[in-house]
Amino acid sequence: MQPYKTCKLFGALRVVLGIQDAIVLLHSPKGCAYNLRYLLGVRGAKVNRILTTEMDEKDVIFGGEVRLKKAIKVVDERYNPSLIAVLTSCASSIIGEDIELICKDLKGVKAKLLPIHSGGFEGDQIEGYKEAMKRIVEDLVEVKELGDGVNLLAVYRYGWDLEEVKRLVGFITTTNSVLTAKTSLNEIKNASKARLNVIMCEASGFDAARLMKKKFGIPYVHPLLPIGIKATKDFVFSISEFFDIKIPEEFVKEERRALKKIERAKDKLIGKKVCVISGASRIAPITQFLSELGMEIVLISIDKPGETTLEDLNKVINEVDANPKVIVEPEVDEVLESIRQEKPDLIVGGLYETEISRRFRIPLLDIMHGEERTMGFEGAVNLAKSIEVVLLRR
Amino acid sequence: MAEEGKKVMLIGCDPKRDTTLTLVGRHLKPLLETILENNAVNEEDIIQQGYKGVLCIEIGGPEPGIGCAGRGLILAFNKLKEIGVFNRQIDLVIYDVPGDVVCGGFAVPMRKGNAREVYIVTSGEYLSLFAANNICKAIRRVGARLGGIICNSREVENEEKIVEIFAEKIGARIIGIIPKDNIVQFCESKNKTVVEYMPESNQAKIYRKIARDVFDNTCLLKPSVLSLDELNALCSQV
Repeated sequence: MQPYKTCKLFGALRVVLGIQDAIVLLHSPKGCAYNLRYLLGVRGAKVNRILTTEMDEKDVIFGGEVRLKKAIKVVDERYNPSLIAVLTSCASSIIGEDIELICKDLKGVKAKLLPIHSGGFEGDQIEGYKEAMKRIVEDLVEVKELGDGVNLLAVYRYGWDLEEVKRLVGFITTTNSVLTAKTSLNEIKNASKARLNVIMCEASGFDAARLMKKKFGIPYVHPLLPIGIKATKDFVFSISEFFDIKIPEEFVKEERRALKKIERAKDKLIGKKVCVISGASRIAPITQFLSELGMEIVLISIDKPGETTLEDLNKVINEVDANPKVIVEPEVDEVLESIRQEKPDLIVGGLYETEISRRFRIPLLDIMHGEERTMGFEGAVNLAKSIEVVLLRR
Repeated sequence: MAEEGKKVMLIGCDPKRDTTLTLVGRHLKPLLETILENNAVNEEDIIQQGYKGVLCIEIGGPEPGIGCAGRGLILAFNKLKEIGVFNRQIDLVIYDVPGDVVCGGFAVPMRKGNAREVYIVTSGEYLSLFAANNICKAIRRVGARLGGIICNSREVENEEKIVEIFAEKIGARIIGIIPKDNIVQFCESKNKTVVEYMPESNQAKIYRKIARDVFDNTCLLKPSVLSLDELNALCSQV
């Protein structure tokens, strides 16, 4: 009754929002758009491309076809986007609105139309990421001649971290396409040129990676996200291994410099008890990094594990010899009770944990937004410093 | 009942909107269509007087293959209450609901505060009984009460017996039996009811009697429901 998860629409929306020349048109009552704009806006995303047909009761009864067609035309004329993604909500999904046919039959629209079934009751956000990625790979990626570089697959957050990941890739090769953070329709069309897919979110990326392998013959790897020293090295190593290119000396130098800085920060962090609340893709590398800092991980909460999340996490936990309590797909109460028992000195999580942090007077490091620097060596140094600062606030 | 001077209201709840056709002599503009055009609906917009002053309302619904007729019924019932159509002096309100309660919306007419008694019209054909059985499930679910079964004959072999056993098994009684007669189709083709167009016919007499029996009926019950096997056995054994 107090879920730690959200709905399919949320996931699908975030995927298409990453395509910068796209407009997301929710075929929904106005609340879906308002609430998602509110939430994502607070988290630092640009939300002005989230529009809604403002479906009302009459549309539910008689079908929202007329309203949807009109809205698509208005969006096409007013904003001139390359792509209009039409997303169903609970309301339009329940009445089985035939968005494929509506999009197919609509004449005189310049933008490419991408219908996606994303009714909230159809599944959680991971289902939404998966569904939207699948539609994108199936309907938007074109057959092209093989080129160079890698795709970053299933990454939805842009900002400093994304640039850093691209820079890390740059030690070995180029980034061909990003699906779908800070990307464009054209970039997506060209995704079939890449020689390798690097899965960034393993909960939602495997399906898309398999589909691209089948359709375009592109192999894939799924290293841990480059959060922390070891994960950053492993991330770059997984790419260098595939391309059989030696890791350049400059990368090694960066690592040494970062290690020195982190050593200095570690003094104040060693032995501090920490709780990590995260989604699938970040949980293992963050756990690993917090151990690199000498912290004691007492509690791990995962909203929804992907195919390899628990395996990856267990591997990390064994390697660093940690003994945290791990809760999977918890209810809010379960998280509260676990925090009460484990009494961490710090919570690493996102905005959703603000209230928990206040209630228990445990400082929170919010890393679940695009403005935080968490990846690569510099991200590691920054995270270590941020933790130090947040702990001081106590 | 209207012939006897009772004030009767007939509300067609079928998206096909054909309930009131023979009473009014033409297709009524349905309530939901009126709402679609203009949210402020007046009684005059949606109520038409038919034969013998029967107050007729068609609820209507979406075109086939689009939208949600069930939600339409929910909105329509809210609207009927909002504009106060039940505030007037009425002796009998009849809701004509299509043959199966396919979703929550179609159960609205039998929910608390709407129809007090449910009468199921069925033939002795398997599919008709199957729908009747489903309606019994819905009646139980929403806590409504069954007044009885009306057998609308399709001239199936042993039809009355089959319907009789069905009624017995669900614990209901048969209120009336309507024989198959081509004059029904004939009167329909003239856009008239049998009672109006052929008032002296045997069919009209039967209709009058059923109406009287329904009106006088005080025996209301919670029906039992048959399993599919029981229903199959019932149709094949007789």
